[in-house]
Amino acid sequence: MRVLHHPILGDAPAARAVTIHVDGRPVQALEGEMIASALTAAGIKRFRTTSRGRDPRGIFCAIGRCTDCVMEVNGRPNVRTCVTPVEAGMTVNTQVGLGVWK
Amino acid sequence: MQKADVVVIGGGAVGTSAAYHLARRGRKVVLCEMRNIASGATGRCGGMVVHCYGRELNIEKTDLRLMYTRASTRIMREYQKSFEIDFELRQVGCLDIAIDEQEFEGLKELLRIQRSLGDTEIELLDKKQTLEVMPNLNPELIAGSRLRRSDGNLNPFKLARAQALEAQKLGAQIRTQTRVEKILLSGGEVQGVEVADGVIEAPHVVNAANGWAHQLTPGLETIPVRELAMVTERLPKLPPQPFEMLCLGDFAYGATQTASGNYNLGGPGPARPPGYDYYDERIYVDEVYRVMSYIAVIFPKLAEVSVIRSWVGTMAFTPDAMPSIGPMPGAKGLFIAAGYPDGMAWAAVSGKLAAEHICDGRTSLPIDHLDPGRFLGQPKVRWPQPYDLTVCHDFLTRERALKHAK
Repeated sequence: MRVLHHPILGDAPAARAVTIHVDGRPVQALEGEMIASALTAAGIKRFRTTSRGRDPRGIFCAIGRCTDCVMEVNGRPNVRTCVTPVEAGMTVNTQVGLGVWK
Repeated sequence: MQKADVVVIGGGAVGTSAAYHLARRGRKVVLCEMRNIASGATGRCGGMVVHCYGRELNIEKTDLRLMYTRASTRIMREYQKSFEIDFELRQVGCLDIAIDEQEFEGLKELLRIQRSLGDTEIELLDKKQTLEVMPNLNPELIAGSRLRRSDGNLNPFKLARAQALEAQKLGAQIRTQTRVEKILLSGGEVQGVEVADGVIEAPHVVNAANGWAHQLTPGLETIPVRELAMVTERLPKLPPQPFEMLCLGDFAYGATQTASGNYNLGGPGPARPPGYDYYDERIYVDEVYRVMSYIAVIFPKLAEVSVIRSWVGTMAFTPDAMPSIGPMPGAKGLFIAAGYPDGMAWAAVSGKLAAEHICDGRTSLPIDHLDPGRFLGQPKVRWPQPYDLTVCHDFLTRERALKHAK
């Protein structure tokens, strides 16, 4: 689901369709939308697991404050997907615990 | 009026160690802390345990420093067997990095001296080996390094709290939010201390107030230093060596990853203008930015991460960079344990020495060289000497400018 017509923000700007790679699978996304939006539109709700209990987490605040939606983006852990725009060819991986930083 | 055998002033790692060791010896101890446990240098430092801080070329001092700090680590290992709180001591090693060939030659000389004293724990690493141990450092800034595997880090809050808790179990009273206004002396002998709500009578007082110690004991030379520290978001484990970089002399910028994954970063702030307030605990955004940008030059990977909290604290040095531990001349019953540039490596043994001196009249390790009266009658040390921060600042600014120019 994407919000294409917002009562206050108006219509979503036209954007190029691109492919990103999520846990190795290609996912269609719109360039410039937030990674979390693209994943939500693709039906992906689990973004990471917690470091102690390995419990699943996803979008919570959606405004870049809570860090619940962080994932490994292009090899960097702790990236807040709700405020990070999609770029073509991006690699996005589920972050397990504190993740892996190469 | 309250009575005690010993009043300990200061609730940092050193004061709580003294309270614990005194309580263990059956003494009735009251610890007075003007704020809360670990509110001074202890709670504001990076938590690095460095057995031979600095690049002291004086053989005698190096030998002494190792004797005390090794004893301190042994005591902490003992703590770990019985203490309720785990203070996360991890001996992961620490790198002392030389940034150019000239500095590296100095490190080699230091290593030669330390080896001649029977110190076999240290290794000299060339550039390649240093980067193998810590691959994330800026290769352009490294000529070589010295690695001591017994160094490492701990959680300073937990160390102070652990010692305070064990002291309390043994009957010590910990009074927080209790500022000691004055150490009471009569006829050259300690009578106790004055606090806001009265007097605590005691024949022995331990002054472990570090950056504030000289305010209570005139003649004591402890020089306050204002240092910045930051903590990053939790990160995956990187190769675990913390590092200190003694940039062009005596300024250590350091980074160390804690048990929980956060990185503690720190170092001296910008060059100090005259009239600088070393007790100012407000933090300013520009100084955080500046220190962080220096560390990012040394450790480029950290340029990408978020700092979640930053703070400043008042540390304390003495003119010869060795702490003052021992009885204060002219004040019978007053024991000083203050002025630590590298307190986490000394705290445990300092409190033990205080307890031994008070209970037995002698100590298991010699403390003559740490005599708190050794600076009496000597000219006062004033900043920016001997630590001229502008040198350091200029250097790192230049490095940063070079990097940005590429």
